[in-house]
Amino acid sequence: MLPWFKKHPEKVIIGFILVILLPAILVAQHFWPHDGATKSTRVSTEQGLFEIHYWQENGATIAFVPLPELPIVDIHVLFPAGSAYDKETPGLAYLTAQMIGEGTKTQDAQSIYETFENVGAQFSASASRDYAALSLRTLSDNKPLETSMEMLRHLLAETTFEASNFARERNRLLAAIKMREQSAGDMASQAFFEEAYAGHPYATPVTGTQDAVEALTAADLENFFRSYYTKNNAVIAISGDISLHQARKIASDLLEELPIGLADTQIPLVPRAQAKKEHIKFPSTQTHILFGMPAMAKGNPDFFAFSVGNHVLGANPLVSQLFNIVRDQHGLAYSVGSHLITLKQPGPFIINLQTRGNEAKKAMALVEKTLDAYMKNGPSKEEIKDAKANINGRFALGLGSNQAITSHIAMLAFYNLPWDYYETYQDNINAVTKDDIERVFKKYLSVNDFVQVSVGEHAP
Amino acid sequence: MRLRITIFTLLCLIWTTGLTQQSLPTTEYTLSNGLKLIVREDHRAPIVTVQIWYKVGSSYEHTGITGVSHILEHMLFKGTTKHPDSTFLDTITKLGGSLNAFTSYDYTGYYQSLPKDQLAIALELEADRMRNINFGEEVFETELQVIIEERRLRIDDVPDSLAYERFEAVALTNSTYRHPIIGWPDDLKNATRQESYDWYKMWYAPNNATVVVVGDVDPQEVEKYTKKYFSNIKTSDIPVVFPQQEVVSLGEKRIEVKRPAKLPKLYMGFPVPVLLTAEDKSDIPALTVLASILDGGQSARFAKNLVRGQAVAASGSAGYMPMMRQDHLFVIEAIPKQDKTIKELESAIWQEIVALQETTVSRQELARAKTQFKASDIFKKDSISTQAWEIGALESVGLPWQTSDEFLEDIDKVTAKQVQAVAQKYFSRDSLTVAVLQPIAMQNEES
Repeated sequence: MLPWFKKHPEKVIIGFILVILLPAILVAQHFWPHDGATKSTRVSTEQGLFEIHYWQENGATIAFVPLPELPIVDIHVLFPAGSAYDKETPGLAYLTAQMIGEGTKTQDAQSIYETFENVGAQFSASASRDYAALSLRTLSDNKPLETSMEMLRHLLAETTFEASNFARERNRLLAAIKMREQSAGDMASQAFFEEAYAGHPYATPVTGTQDAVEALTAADLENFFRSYYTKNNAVIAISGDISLHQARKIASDLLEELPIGLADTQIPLVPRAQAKKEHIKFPSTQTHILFGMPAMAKGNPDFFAFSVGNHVLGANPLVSQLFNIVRDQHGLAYSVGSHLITLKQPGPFIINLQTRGNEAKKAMALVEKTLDAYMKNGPSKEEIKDAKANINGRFALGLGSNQAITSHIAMLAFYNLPWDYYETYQDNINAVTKDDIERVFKKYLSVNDFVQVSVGEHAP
Repeated sequence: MRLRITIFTLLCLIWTTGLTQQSLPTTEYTLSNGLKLIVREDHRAPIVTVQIWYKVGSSYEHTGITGVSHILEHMLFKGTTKHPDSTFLDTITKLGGSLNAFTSYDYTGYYQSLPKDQLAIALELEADRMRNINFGEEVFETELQVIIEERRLRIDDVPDSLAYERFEAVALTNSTYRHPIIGWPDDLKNATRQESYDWYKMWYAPNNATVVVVGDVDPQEVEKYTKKYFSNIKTSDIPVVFPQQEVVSLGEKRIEVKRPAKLPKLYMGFPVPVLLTAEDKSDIPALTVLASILDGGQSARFAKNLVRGQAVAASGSAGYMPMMRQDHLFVIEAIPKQDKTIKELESAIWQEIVALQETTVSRQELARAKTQFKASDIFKKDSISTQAWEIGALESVGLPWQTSDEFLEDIDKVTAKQVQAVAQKYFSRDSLTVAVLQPIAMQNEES
């Protein structure tokens, strides 16, 4: 995969100037040429196609897909403002995103949501590990589009973190944290990240910890918002029944009043995994087990081989090896599989299952046996062929709605993936060989270093 | 695929001048054996979703065999005489798509979303498993363990799911909706292979099924393949299901559900009619609008008054499903804010109900709710699965698929007075059921 700068040199230049010549830029902003040239690429599958237009403006990356069939416009605005930037206060990024819509300099939550909902528009904001995302879905008619766009612009420019709103939303987040603590599955996931990413920002739960959230102040959120929700690291993905000209105007308007940010958005390298076994005693009839380690970042060219290999092992629903052995043959779990989560820094590979407490040991032994055999022998030629057929069939399904297309192009832009990612996706999948799969499984996974976390009455 | 201009695009243009947007071209066909086929053309992407819906679900079951519809759904993935064991599943998976199945109160459905050129084989496989499933005792017993794990995962270990299960069983006295879809634990434990087979023979027949196909297809071609694979399947005698309408409530009911948990939760329910059962049909869109006045977005009354204004709730929702086979419930669920009690929360919710009964909703609120329904109706056209789901669910409870368009028009006619009237008619103390999830301490420790 090409590094970003080879294909898009303008980003590097803009970034350089912003850092070195910031005062000059602030003065010169009015004269700054806002019209980064639009480029476009066509995404064609065997049967159809759509077109992605993309450009840069003030360091922001914008992508637009015209989809004229339905009178809908989707807009996703992303910032590198996820929980990876929480530092000492897990929950900071999540609560900041949660408060967008709860109040601005001139409007309260009621009037903000009424403005959206009076025209049938749907707005939401939330944070995950790498990014915060604001999503707007509206009808494309003039009134709903203009009204909801104007409100979205207003939220980006004028959001405030007023004390009583802050107290209320923090209280709600504390309830959400308690909800998490009464779920064995959520507890297992939290414990897995704590162990697999010890010392790294990915270690803490996205929704935060009780102590940290209680210690947060409105000023913390205000600072976080000003530092990370900035024009030079924004990503805007737009799709729907509007013209390129309209999309360009929408993007310009959204960016116009955002500040320029200087915050460091690098996420530290993930330390080497260290084997660890942990059991948390919990009043549930099932024991939840997570087993895995940090593995692969977004944009890694080995992703395709890993993906095909993982499909055979545990990701292909209803027919993977793990599903077949643990569920179909032994009836030990309803849900069992293996998942690769790719993030800016290597995200985890996780095998997960839940089983009745007294069978946890047996289920875990089956998982280990299956995994060991797979690491040793890899998949069969037949399994590879079937996995590719399923992945390629799903490809068109995954791009089958406006909403899915918008999310996907937002990911391309946010993670600096090549714009021909979808154009070349099926070729990349088809090119994967048995050797590739065996090589990448050995390269990214060392079972001896796996973290094993379990939650339930009985340890495996 | 996305450059094609369809009649639908023209309809969009009409809509912008103020008319309600119509559904995409939809074709209906009934085979001589009674199988109904509905095809909706959506040519935006080269994909198709094939769903087959059977008119059977948990509301058809009685105590002793609860959960059998769902057990049977699992067994339909265990192979047929022609495609034994896992070859059935492997064949579908190789076509490249996502597939699964679902069981609900009133129906059981199977879906396959696929590249459009795999349509024929999807239909062939569905026709095969309508009559020819084949599984042994051992396969059944193993799968039953999986289903019991599913119950643990979804219900037993989830405090609010378990509380809802108990709530529904108390709120309804004789309606079969009081049984959990997944079945009561002992009925699962004692389920037999024979019961599943009997259930299969009783309900899985062309004249008790609807095939729904939505996507980039030619309806004539779909009809051709449907005939080819299904037309030799014989019609069955489907048992007559007598109505089991809920008896009238004779006073408030209250329960507590004590579970290891961290958050209390409140459930309030009122028995209400549905579109099929209502004496006065106009009550149904009015109740639907009422639910939206309370919980249709973040400017609705629960968010405005309970979460923000009085700040007694961390969250609150109102739910009503008008397209069921029998009377069901209008359900309110809420979690108190950290420093508030369930009692304070319940009294605040009751104030909201009284407000609906005493004062008509504002013109702006009513207009907003209607606009949101219209917009959502367009948004849902973005998904072929959602469209197929809507068609299948309506047909399976005995309503024509066109009901969704008509219902949208009915919603548009609802007046503030009607909303007030249904609030007075259905929300009485004597018909109320309250359930409270009371957390008991959880002992967590790491080792």
